[in-house]
Formats: sequence, C-alpha cells, structure tokens
Amino acid sequence: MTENISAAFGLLFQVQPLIALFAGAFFGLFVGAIPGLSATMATALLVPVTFFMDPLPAIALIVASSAMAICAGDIPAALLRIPGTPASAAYTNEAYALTKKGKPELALGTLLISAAFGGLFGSIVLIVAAPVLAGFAIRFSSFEYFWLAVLGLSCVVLVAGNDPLRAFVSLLLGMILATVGLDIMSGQPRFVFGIVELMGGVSFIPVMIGIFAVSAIVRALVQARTRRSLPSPPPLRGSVLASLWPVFKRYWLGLLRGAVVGTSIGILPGAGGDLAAWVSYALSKRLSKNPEAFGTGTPEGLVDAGASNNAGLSGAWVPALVFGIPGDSITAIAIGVLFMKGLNPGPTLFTSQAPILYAVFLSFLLANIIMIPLGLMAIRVARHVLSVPQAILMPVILLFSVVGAFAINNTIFGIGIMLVFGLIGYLMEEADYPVAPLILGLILGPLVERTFSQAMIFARGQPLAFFERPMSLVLGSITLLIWFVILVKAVIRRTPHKTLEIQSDTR
Amino acid sequence: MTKDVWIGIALALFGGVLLVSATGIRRVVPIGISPAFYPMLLSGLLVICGLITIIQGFRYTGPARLGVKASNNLRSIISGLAVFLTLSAVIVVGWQRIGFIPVAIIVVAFVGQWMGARPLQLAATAIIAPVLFYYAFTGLLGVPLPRGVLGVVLPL
Repeated sequence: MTENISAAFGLLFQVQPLIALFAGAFFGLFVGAIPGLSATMATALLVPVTFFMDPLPAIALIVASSAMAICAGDIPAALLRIPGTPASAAYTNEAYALTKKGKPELALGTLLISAAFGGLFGSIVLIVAAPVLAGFAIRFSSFEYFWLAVLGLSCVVLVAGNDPLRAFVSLLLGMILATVGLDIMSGQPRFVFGIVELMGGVSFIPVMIGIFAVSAIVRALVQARTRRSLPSPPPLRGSVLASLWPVFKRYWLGLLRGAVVGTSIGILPGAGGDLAAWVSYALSKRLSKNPEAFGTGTPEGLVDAGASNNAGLSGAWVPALVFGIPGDSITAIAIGVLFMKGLNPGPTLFTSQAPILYAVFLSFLLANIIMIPLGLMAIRVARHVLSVPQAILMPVILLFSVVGAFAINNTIFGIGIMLVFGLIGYLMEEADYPVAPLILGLILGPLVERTFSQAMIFARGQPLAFFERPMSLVLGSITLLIWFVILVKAVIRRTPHKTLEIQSDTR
Repeated sequence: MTKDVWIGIALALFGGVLLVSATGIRRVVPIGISPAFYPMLLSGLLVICGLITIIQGFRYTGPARLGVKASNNLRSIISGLAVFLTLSAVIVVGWQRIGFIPVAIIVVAFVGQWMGARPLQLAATAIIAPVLFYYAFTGLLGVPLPRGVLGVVLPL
C-alpha cells in the first residue's frame, strides 16, 4: 500500500494532472455558481474533453469539477435565494435568511468550510473502505454481481422522488436504450430499425450531454420570454472566515454527523448529494436544541447539510469504483469515462491499476483542500459570475455540447442523438419523470443482462441457484425487501390522497 | 383527460411497438438466454407501466393537470420547442454543407437573439465563440470540424 501511495504521489504531482485538476476546479466553480447549470451538466460537458486526455488527468478533471460545482452552487443560494445546483436546494432558504440578516459572509463561509470538511471526510472513507470492499468483492461471481446491479437499480427507484412508478418508467427507458445494437452474446441486432449507426449501440456520452446540458438549453428557450434577469447580489464587506470559529466550535457534532450521513447516503446507488443534503438538514432540525430557529437564518442546519452534500459526492464513488455500480449521475458519467480509458471499475482495478487508483484518491483529497482558497476567491468574484447573461451563456453551452457530441466519433449521428435526448430530457422533467434512473439504467442495464445470462448458464436454468450462495442470498433478500418497501410506499402514497379527497368532499 | 392518461397511452404504445419489434429477434441460440428475452421483458414491463399510468390518470380526481407547469404557459412551450427544432434542423442539415463556423454563427445569433441578448454583446459572441471553438477543437484536440464553405480560407 505504501508503495502504491508513493507511486500515486509521483503520478498526480505532474504538470498534466495538476493542470487538469485546477482547470476542472475553475470550470466547476463557474458552472456551479450559475443558477440552472448543475454539477452533472458540468461533468457531462467535460466528457468529450477527457476523450483526449490520459486516464488520471481525465478523472482528476471530473473529480475537481464536480466537487467545486456542488460547493459553488451554494453561492447564488445564499446571495440570491436561487440554488446554483439542486444539491443546494435543501438549505437555500436558511442561507438566504442569514444573508437577509446582513450576514452573507457567515452563510457562505459556513457552507464552504462544511463542504470542504464533508468532501475530505467522504474521501477518507472512500480511501479506507474501497480497498477493503474490493478485497471482499473479488470473490463475487455472476450471481452476486447480478443482485448487486439489480439492488443498485432498485435503490434508484426507491429514492428517486415520491412516485416509484415514474422512476421505474425512466429506469426501463434507460435499460431498453442499453439493449439497442448488436447483442454481445449472440451477435443478433436489437432495436436498430435498419439504422446502421445503431448497430454499435447508443453511445452514452451524447445521451448524457443531451439529457443534462441540452435539456437545460431547451428549458431556457421555453422560458426566454418569461424569465426575469437575476437580481444583483448584496455586496460582501467583511471577511468570510472571520466569524466561523465560534460556529464550528458550537456545531462540530453536526459537522461530523452531516459528513457521516452524507457519505452513507452517497454510497447508496441513485441517492447522491441532493438527497443527502435534504436528509441532513431535516435530521439537524430534529436533533437541534433550538429547532424553532431553523428557517430564520441559523448556521446550524447549514453546517450539517453543507458537509453532507459534498460527502455524498465522495461516497458515491465507493460502489462506482468497487463494483462498477454508480452512486449518482456524476459517477455514472465517470464510470463511462473509466471504461473509455481502459480502467474498468471493479475489484480487480485495485490490484491491476493500484497506483493510478490511489492517485485518483489523492486527487479527491487535493480537490477538497484547494476548495477552500478557490471557493473564497469564487465568493469574492461572485457578483461578476452572476452577471454573465444567460442569453450569451446558453448559446455557448449549446456550441460546446454540439462539438462535444461530434468529437466522440466524428459523426453527425452523435449530434442527432444528443439533440433528441435533449428534447426527451426536457419533456421528462416537465412531466415530473426523474432523468437520473434513465442514466443509471443505461449504465447498469448491460451488466444486469450479462450477469443474468452468465448466471443462468452456470445454474443450468435453475432460478433457485440465484439464492444458493450466502452472499447472493443476502443481496437477493435485500433487493426483494426493497421492492416490498417500494410497493408499500406506493400504496401508502395513494392512501392519504383518498383521505384528503373524502375530507374535502365532506366540507 | 389528465396528462397522465396521455403519457400512459404514449408509453403503452411505445412499449407495444418495441414488443412487436423484439418478437422479430432470432430467439434460438446454442447456449444461454435468448437475445430476445431481455428486450421482450423490458418492453412488456413498459406496456404494463403505461397501462397503470393510464388507470392512475383516470382515477385522479384532483385539479386538472394538463402537463404544463405553472412557470410556463402553452404558448411559450410551443414557441420554445419550435426554436429548438429549427436550430436542430439547421445544425443537422448545415453541418456538412456549410461547415461548423457558419452553422455556429447562426446558432449563437439565433439563440442569443431569442433570449434577448444585447446586440453588441451578441455580435461579438457570435463571431468570437465559433472561431475559438474551431481552433481549440481542430488545432489542440484534432477534432475534424467541417470547414464547409469556408474551406478556402480556413487552414487544414
């Protein structure tokens, strides 16, 4: 391990990886600070650039940009009451209430330090837990991998919003999309409808760019005539760090709790930092000695939730690297990049490419350390970043998306796929269908099918064999339990509706 | 009818088309699961989800849900989507015929104008951004963006 770490230092502290890390950090800060542009969008837009980079700089670029984007999303949340990324939505009102009290520096400083701590905590958990889990996972067969993939997809349905049916439909669409092209096992074409370009399957990169970037452009075009320009953020007069010591001295337990909760939720497939922040904020309020202060501008909730969303981001990499099962949309994209670079995620990665993997771990730590000085700088220039007009920004993002989709295979077909999925992504969000399950279905669909086929061959067609090995029995039971919870949730969701309807009828 | 009914019909029809298409996949393989099994399973589940969505739509008794969010009205949705489809057509048709830079200038100018950019800012962006993208991607990353009508003036 020591050899791997020293080799990792040598790999990371070179010009190209460091430039990539800082470039990703600046890009992430910019994208995250602009309302309407998400951390996932920042990651999706960078994928075509990573195509031309070595594996380590490519991953470092993604790690730094996503961490910074999540952190920078707090800036418009605190200054304008508009979350820069969905991960900041949980505590936007709280942060803005502090700003209204004349303490924007306290809100921004609390969120920045909490985010850096949460990110570092999640990174340390990743560094410690991932190799241990990988050592355990090396004994897994097709049966366990099948259940793991199904478990991942089940968690996505469980945690994605209030309506499991919508999440399941989105998941099915992603899994169907993954079947397009020649079947690997038999060579039979599936769902190609005579289109030669579809024989090789649907490339995930144009789909990602379409779903996360182009859909935002479609939304901007739809809202162009009704959208109001952003208000001017209040000026920052004092030091951002000056008043933080008493806050963290008082709420250190909340900081730790937020980091633990965030990492734990991040590890769940499909959950990610957004959910982690909501859960942590709610938990902080429930456990607080002063819950009535929440919503009026107290840093207590900000400490928990701010630490939680960045910890969730790092935690999501644990299943991604160990099992190849993404924890959220960002790691789903990152898994695609890992495959593209020949770093196939899974337990063997920890033995075959250990130095690069440890260098990736170090890039997590470095990204969260440089988050503090770069975040302070971003806070200072926030007024200028927020004044970039959307009417100039959106066409440039569209150009970036078009060129990025073209660059994958140098064909117009990639651009067509991207545009189609931009429209689909917009329509899905308008109809309240979550898009994250579609992406996870696209990534995990082939794994489910492949492992199912392999397991059925081993089992000679006996379905009970899926429960014979101890670990597959555990994973299978958890999966079935999750589906039971999903069904119960769906029934409960419908019950209060009826009660309300009866109440309203009797009035 | 609520939007759920329409969405359910669309899902069931789409799933049905896929199911029919999946039945055309050759099913006999020497070993393992048929390549048609998984697509048929997923398409069938999509049809079932579509039907459940239709039933949910008919059983819904709350306020009318027409599929338009409060922040948008139908006119802005139609006009916004029309702009996007027009832009898509310009990109797809013009990409090889007139080349990247002219297409990019049209796209930036059109989107910026639609979103209410200031004329001077927009003019500068519409010229500078496409040229920067062209040189960054062709020069630094080696992406062969089409030169189109500017082939005579742009270096190889």
